[in-house]
Amino acid sequence: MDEGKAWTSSQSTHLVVAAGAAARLALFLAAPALCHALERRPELSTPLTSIRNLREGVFIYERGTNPYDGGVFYHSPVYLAFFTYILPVSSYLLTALLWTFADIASSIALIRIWQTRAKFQSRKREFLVAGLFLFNPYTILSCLARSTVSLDNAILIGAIATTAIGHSLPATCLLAIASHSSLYPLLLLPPLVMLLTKESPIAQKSTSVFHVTIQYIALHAAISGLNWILADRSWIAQTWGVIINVTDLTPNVGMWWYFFTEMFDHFRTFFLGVFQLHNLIYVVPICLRFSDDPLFATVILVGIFGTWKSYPNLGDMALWAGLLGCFPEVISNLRHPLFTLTVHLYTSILLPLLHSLWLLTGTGNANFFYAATMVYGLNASLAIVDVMGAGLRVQVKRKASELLLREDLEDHKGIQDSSDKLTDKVWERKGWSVVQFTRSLM
Amino acid sequence: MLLSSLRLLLLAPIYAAVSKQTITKHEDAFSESLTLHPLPDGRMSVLFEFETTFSSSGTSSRISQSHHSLTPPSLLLPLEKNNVSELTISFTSGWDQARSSSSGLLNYESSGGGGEIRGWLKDSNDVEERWNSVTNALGGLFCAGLGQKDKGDNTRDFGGIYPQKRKIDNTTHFLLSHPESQLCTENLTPFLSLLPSKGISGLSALLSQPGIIFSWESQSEGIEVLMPDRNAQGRWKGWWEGIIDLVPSNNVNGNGNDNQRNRNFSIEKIFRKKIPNPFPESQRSILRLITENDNMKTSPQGRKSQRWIDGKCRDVVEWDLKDKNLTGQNIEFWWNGENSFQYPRHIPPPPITVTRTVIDKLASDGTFQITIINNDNIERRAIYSEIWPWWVKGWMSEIEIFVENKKRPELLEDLSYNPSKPPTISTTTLHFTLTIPAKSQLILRIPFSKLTLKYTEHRPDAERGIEISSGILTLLDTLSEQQTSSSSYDSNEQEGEISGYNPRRTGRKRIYTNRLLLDIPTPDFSMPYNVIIMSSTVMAVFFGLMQGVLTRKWGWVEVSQKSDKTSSIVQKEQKQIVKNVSQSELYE
Repeated sequence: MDEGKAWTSSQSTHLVVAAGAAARLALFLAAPALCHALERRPELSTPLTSIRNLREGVFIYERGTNPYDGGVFYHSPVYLAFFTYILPVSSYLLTALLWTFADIASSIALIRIWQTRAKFQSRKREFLVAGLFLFNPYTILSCLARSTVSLDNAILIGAIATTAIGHSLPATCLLAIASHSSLYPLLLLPPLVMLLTKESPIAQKSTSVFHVTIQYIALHAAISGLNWILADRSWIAQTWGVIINVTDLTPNVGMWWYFFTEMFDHFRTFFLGVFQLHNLIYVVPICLRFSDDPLFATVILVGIFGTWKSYPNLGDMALWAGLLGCFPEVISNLRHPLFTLTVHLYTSILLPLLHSLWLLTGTGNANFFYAATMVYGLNASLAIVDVMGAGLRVQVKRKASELLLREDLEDHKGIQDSSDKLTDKVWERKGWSVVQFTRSLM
Repeated sequence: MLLSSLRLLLLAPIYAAVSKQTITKHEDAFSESLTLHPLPDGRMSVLFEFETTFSSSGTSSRISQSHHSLTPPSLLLPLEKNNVSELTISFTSGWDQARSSSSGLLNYESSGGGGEIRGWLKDSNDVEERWNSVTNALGGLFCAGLGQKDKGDNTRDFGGIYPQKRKIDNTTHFLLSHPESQLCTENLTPFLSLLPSKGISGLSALLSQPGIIFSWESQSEGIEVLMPDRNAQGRWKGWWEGIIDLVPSNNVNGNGNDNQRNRNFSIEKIFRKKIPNPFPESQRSILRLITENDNMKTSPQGRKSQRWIDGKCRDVVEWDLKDKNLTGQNIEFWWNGENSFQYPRHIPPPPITVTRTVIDKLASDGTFQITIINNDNIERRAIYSEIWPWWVKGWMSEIEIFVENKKRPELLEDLSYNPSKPPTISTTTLHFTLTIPAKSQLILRIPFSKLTLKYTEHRPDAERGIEISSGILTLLDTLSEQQTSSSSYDSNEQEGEISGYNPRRTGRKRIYTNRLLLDIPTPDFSMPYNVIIMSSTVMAVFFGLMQGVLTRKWGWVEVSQKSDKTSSIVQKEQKQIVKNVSQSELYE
């Protein structure tokens, strides 16, 4: 087939990655005014990820004062050191290059994740995985806004990719950096440890859970030690402390800021506990339910804390969408992808509109923006449930097919198609469908 | 002869002892003055000043109350008890730099807009606590909330801006700004009660007329106390200043006599009283008029002299009100040949003006634009200081300085930034050390964001906004107003002084901007329950669905393809083959 040939040419993935890089650099250079306007958007960067705060912190640090002493700087000392000593944050061109590079690295890591997952080569899918991530508007906008969430994402995707390949040292190292800067990736440690210790065809010797955990803790402690040298212990309260205690209530797309603006003081601690535990409680059940596919468990958890963490950005959603691109069989089993997409479209119009009504022109009030963030949060939550349901449907289909439909599937061998697509076709013809029963599992 | 000399010799130690005592034990002394200063726009500054010097309680007398003969115990006892060395309280409402050809009020110690209490405390033990008790004690005295509203409102790094008048080691400076405070009738009665003359005699009799005083324009009231110590006497000074319009407006003077709109005035016309009886204990009681070399005439004539005041050598006319001949008389003032006051086309601007506005105004962001205009041919050095509440977050990396639309970052010599620590209530203080080029307009831009406050942190009437304290420009290169005979000044300055104008020769070290009203983005105060309920619902929906998906059993059914699609009964006829055997295999 001509089409197939076109996809098999190895140039296509390079082409989309190059196009993504070119598009970013072109926008950075051609529309600096747009980039500066995007920097201030609360949807794209929270005080914990905004480049404006980072610049401020580096400015104060360069003048010999500890930026963590005042309540202006919440970035990790890792970023403070990097942007002070290695790459000057005030340089527009260098930062533009760095952020473009981060997105490119993320897309390449996503392709690697897909390659380790799929047992066969599919240029078309690689093209799609990279393209969907690089040309997702959320990714592009986060990159142009130079929100550090893009860097966090690149590090986290790198951690997941190296885990999927089976290199435990770079994986734990990247995860340690990611959890240092935004804390929540810490929740991914269990599924990633499961993934590392699972027998994989590439890594010869299987690593033990104990070994990996110790490695992670040691690396995490090492980075903490470096930070300690940089800014003694003041950074803990100003980075992790803020993430946990939500002391900065600047509006963002999450569910937390207005809740804790309006919260009665004597219930604050209780609800902080509830909201933080809410992120934590899903880790164990999801790891148990998807013990056969820890990578999928990772994706679900990324989605959960991307929606329910204390300072979410649209960039977190971009990360999730990018990872979902590696799971085409899940996407084809979604219940309401159109609904999810249209509500995303609708909130991406509502969010800036209602934000400007309240905080720019001063004509609306806080409820306007809150309503938009609530629709966004609800939609993201429903999408996570949908993806998880689709994942379970795929699981059931695979297991049932293995048991009952081996002959049917073997009849269709030879058609160039992925096994999951084949399964879907056979099920369609047979008139079978996966359902969720009301009966409990136990 | 011999005998007398012998007596002298014998009594010498006693004489010496007596004379020594008179040196250390000063008499308490009280002096008062009223200064009138006509402004170029047809208005006039009126300034009452009352000054009392008093001795230290420790060395002067065994009776502890004796030094309060002229001084008010209600003012001094809290200060003494809390070991205060210097204290200044000031209330000010408004000042127009452009119209009055002067960068501030006649009294140099007056603060910017609103109220302010500042001072130096001795010892470093529990200073914060002692400062709180002083401010709260005096707040009651001045019928105003002078104490801090929240912990952390005090600023402690303004010692360089308000230096000690008497050098004492181991002291701490405090400044507490209340930009929202107003001067009102409640403040006059306690002020008068602090004075020894109590508003009955002397100049205070002219002041104790609330109906007249509070019809004046921008006003300022304040006290300054220097507590006595071993080497020096104590001194406390109270002042009251106001601006009055000399030209009757058309509406008020409705007798149709329009061509009578001249500035002629007299003591009786201003105060509806003639010169009152002098206060017997006062050492000096002076009426002072500052004129600008125009055709101003007075009757009766006073004693004329020339004096440097606020950068200019001005004619000063003085009358001694202790003079019995003046008591009960009136003093008249007029401009020769002025039938009708012509508002000047051009009012000479003061040497330096400072204004502050907010530009790029959004509900959540903005930029402070501070415009400093130097109208003279000399370069000036100054410190510009700001005090912000904790919810104003400035962006230090984005500060810009412009002169003639060109960026001039080198003019900012030093920036001292002391950020607040949200969410605890605290203040941000900034000190910019600046060079202001000659004949130029320097623009300082400080972008800022407003943090989102919890709904419990908003003050009542949150939609009105909150006032920000005045910015302070402290001039670092001023000279003393006292004329010195030394010729150490360079020729340039001498030249300026010959012509009677030297902007540096002023006692006004600090120039204030206006205060600012900033609105804060508010949450909906009626929403707490709704927000808690709705957000919790979204969370519960998510948790419930997740729980459902994770704990329910999954399996598959076969839907018969032959079934009629339109009939709902068909659903029941569907051949539901639930593969129980294989399912149990699946989920073992």
